[in-house]
Amino acid sequence: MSGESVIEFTGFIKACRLFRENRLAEAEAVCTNLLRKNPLDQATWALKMQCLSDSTYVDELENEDMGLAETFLDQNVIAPNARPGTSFARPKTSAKGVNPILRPTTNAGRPLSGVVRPQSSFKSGSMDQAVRTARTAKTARAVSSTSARNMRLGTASMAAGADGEFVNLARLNIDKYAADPQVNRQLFEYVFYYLNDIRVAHQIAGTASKAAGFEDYYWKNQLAKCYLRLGMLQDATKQLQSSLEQKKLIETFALLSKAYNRVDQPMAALKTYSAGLEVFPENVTMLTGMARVQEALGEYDESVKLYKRVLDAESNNIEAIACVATTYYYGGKPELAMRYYRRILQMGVSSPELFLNIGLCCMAAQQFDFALSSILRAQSTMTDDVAADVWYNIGQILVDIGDLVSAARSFRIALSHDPDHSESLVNLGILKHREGKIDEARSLYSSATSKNPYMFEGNYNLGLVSFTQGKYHECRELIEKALAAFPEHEHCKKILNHLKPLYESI
Amino acid sequence: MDGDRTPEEQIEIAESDQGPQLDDNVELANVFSYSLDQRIMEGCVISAILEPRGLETIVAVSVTNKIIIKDKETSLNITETIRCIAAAPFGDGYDCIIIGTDSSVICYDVHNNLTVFRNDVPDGVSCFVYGKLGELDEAIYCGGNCCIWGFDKTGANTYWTVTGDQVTTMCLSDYDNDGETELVIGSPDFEIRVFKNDLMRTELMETDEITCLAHVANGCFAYSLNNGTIGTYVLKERQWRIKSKSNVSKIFNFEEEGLMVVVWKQGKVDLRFAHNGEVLSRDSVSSHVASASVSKKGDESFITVVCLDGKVKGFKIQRAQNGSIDKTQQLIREFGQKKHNLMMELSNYEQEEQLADVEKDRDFRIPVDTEVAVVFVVNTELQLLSLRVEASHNIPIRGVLIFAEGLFEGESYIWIPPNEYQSRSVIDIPLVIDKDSTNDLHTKVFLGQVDSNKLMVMENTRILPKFCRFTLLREEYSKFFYMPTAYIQFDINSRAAKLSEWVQESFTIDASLVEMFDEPEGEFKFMGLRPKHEKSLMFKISHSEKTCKIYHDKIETMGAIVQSYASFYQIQNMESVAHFPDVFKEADEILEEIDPMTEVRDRLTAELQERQAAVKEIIIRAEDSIAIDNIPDARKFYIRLKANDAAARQAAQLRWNNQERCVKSLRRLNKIIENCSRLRVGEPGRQIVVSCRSAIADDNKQIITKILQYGASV
Repeated sequence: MSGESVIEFTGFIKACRLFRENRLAEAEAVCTNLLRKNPLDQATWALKMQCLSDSTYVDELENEDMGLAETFLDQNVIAPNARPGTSFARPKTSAKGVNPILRPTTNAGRPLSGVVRPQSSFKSGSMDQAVRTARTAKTARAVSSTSARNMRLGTASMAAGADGEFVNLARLNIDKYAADPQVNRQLFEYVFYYLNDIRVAHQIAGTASKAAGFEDYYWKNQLAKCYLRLGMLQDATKQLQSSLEQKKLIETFALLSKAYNRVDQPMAALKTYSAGLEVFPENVTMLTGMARVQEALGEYDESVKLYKRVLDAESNNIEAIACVATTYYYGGKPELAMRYYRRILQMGVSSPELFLNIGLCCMAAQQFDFALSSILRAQSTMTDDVAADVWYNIGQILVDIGDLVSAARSFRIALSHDPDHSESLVNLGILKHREGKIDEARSLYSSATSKNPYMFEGNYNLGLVSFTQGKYHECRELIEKALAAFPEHEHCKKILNHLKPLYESI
Repeated sequence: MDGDRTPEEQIEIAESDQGPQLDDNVELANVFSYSLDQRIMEGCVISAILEPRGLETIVAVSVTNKIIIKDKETSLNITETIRCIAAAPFGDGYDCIIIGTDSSVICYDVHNNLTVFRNDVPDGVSCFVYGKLGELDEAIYCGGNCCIWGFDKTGANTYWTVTGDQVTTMCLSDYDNDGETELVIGSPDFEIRVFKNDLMRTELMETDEITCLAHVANGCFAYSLNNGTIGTYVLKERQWRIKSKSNVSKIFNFEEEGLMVVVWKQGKVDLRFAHNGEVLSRDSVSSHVASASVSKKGDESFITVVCLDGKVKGFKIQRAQNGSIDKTQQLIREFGQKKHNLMMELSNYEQEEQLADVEKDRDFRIPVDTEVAVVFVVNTELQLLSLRVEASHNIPIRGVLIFAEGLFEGESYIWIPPNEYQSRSVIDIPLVIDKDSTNDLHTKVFLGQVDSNKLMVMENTRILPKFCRFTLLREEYSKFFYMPTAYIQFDINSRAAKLSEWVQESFTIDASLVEMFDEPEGEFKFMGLRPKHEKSLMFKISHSEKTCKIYHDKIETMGAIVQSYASFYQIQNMESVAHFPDVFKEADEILEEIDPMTEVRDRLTAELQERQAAVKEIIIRAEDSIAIDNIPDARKFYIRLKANDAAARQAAQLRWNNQERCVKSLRRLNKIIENCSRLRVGEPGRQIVVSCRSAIADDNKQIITKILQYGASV
């Protein structure tokens, strides 16, 4: 019948429904219209702030970027040279650890992991060296410090508003609204996530915590987030410990461990994670955090055990599957690794890195038909940021099947994509060396070591060339660097023993 | 090395009984030396076992505020200024390092690279002691400014009490030999205080700032002062005391009972008997000592002395090689000295007999029955207390020498007439006393005729009462009485029925007037003497109501009066109602401003942190520009860095000022609580501290003034 009425929502209830359906932009527009009519509507004001902050929400647990300023200029670490095994800066380097030949290292001197994580670690070196190191868009590290990144995010968000700034913080009565339990949470999240003004957010959280009689675990957690952003790690630790005494949350345990990791106290972080596991048995956040810490400490066996517990609790955790697969692959069990990678493929992830990994596993497991098709698939879907790695691995496979000319061509293509790819430089140098072009090989080795000073292969090969050419002083320096990366390498020890009498007789 | 005493030392032994005679054939022997290669901060050296089944090693603090661990190439970075460190066995079979800074206590596990706990202590920590106190569990006790904190191995605050001044040194010792340890603390206000659990049991008055306390044996502890005095207390009494010109750095008891090791700041190391202070052996190091510690390697104990320049020297105790010979020579020297004194005395007597009678008359002899009277005299008009020295037979007084520790600047006072012909037989020496304390005046009076070149020495000892700055007021001088506005009121204990006994002992009062204090009702007014010449004191006693009211405006003096009254009559438990409007108003003001001050501190800290982050970021950007040879941008960034650095320094200064005000308020509040606690005796005084602590922790600040006024049991 044409006379039937159609139900339409209007006003605040419409904004609420849009917000619930996660249509944040439309909800915000409705709130803007409502506020234009009645600027004193606090409910609409709070809802609009919630819309704005939800659109720029960042998971604080994973927001772990540490720029150069945080790394080199902070003084939160008590013991910079702690006992090996109790500090991130000095992981275990015994024979029980991984072999750098079997498991490659990154440019920072760390063994490869199954996934890329926001936080990067520096093995050694000074600020000057870190500044001089070339940084490109591919570097997983903020340019200078995380505060700059946060500022840029905030600025970009504010520019989107057509009528300029929504809340004028300079004129806002912070003490009044921060003590109001109806709007203080929205105000805090707006200031913290949207405006990125950590100092005002800290003031709001402090006032709200006091208004709640210091009994609200929520505000203690928010205060801790502010302190973590400001770099005040002791205060953050205090707030989180107080929050844990009131109510045990997964987020609180994770944030407390994050604070301990920032001051380079992994044993304290592990203790906190263990306490969290007692309250939340088999929780994935706790287990993943523990696994990451153990991996950073060099305890790879412990890390794999923890990742397996993660898989018992959550079978589709991609980080756990990838890390376990990586360990199996570099541990000499490519068939098992292949199964894990195929499980990731079944879950719908389709990336060139994944296909390349499957191809390498098939190659190692002598399944050449699958290897070829997987690598072709990776090559056809690769993007610029992984092109160098794809071509490097193709070259490696060609070396394995004996096609050295094609392998050399592949390494050159890899270098054309990424001139800093040190592994390709070393392999190309080795091929030149076999052809008898010693000077070209030497030049390639030198490039590799300058790009990646902690690389074992570059230092070792260059040392070998120096040894055969009679440049013993240079050879000694290079072999010592190689031994620093791989203390158990037998060939390096032999060469050093050959050189020792020359120095002792002087 | 021998057992000779240096000429600068004087020995004063309180008791003549000898302790157990130990084998005196032991000496110090140098066993090792090395260098830490850093300048060491004074007083910050400990010995600790830092890993399971590890050896004891030296931990020290360098003047650059880093913690140095011997045998490790590392040092610990602490961002706050370190004041003291200690070792506590909080790990599983090894020690953690306890670090006291300007504002916190940090317990750090070196083995696991772990901060076990970190607690805020508002006014910083000056000293540590670890152990078991009475019935409480083992804890680390931190001496702060006007308060003492105790933390257990999890960082929980298990102990808190207030004290009258900053705590500069502490030790745990069984003071009364009852099988339980007490906390003994030393302060810059010349007092040693003994805490049994959290009840202050005893106050011992010394003559200078306490610098070191050490447990020696059950019922015995050793102390040292800033003027070089060392000594021991045994079962609540001072046993012996030795004065020296140099200062003590550290005192230990050694593994054998009855021996103690004294390490002096200028490098001497003494091994002494604990029962009489006699030196057994002596050694030295070449430069000024930062601190020292005792460590064990297997079954042997070593004394490790660390100098300010980082050099370390180790000693151990072994059997002596030349002890007997040295003892014999010392004995021969003593006999020679005695012989010389006797010969001199004999020759004087021989000269006396040879003098003719005429010569005797010209010698201005002093009659043999001459007496010297030394009494206290109050000059009421000037409100001044004087010591009157009067010689009989009109013999002129040519000089007066008074020894009284702590009363004068230095330790003695010399009076000499302006010139010989103005000598007289009656002199008054004014006494202006700063502290309420009992003191012995040892007086030597030199008598002689004006033209005589020989003087007669008369000695006298007079006890100065504790409250000699007050004297009973006569009716004709009522203009000097200023009615106090503050008072306390308590019930009269049955043991304290005769007030006159205490008044006679503690006040400067004529003996003939003391009987009036035993009347059933009465008001007794006292006039203040310099430097308290505008403070008055009044007792109002009513035996029918069994109450006593004491009026006085200074709460510190009132506390001393109450404690003296209670200890004289051996009262163990006494309540009182206090009325000090000025003090309570001050406490209220402090409590009201603490919360806003804390909020402002948080805000200033966040602002400072933001500015520092900006400074760090600009440094990175500037270095980036230099690395890529972009000099104009680098110049721009460094100019911006200068402005941001100035802003950061300004924010830091603001924060420091606010923190200083906050700490000063807390210090004053602690002192007020301690003074109000001393207006009560025994358990009621302890309850006040406990209740105030609970009220502050529960943010129940309104009842603190009521607690201070009426006590905690209502």
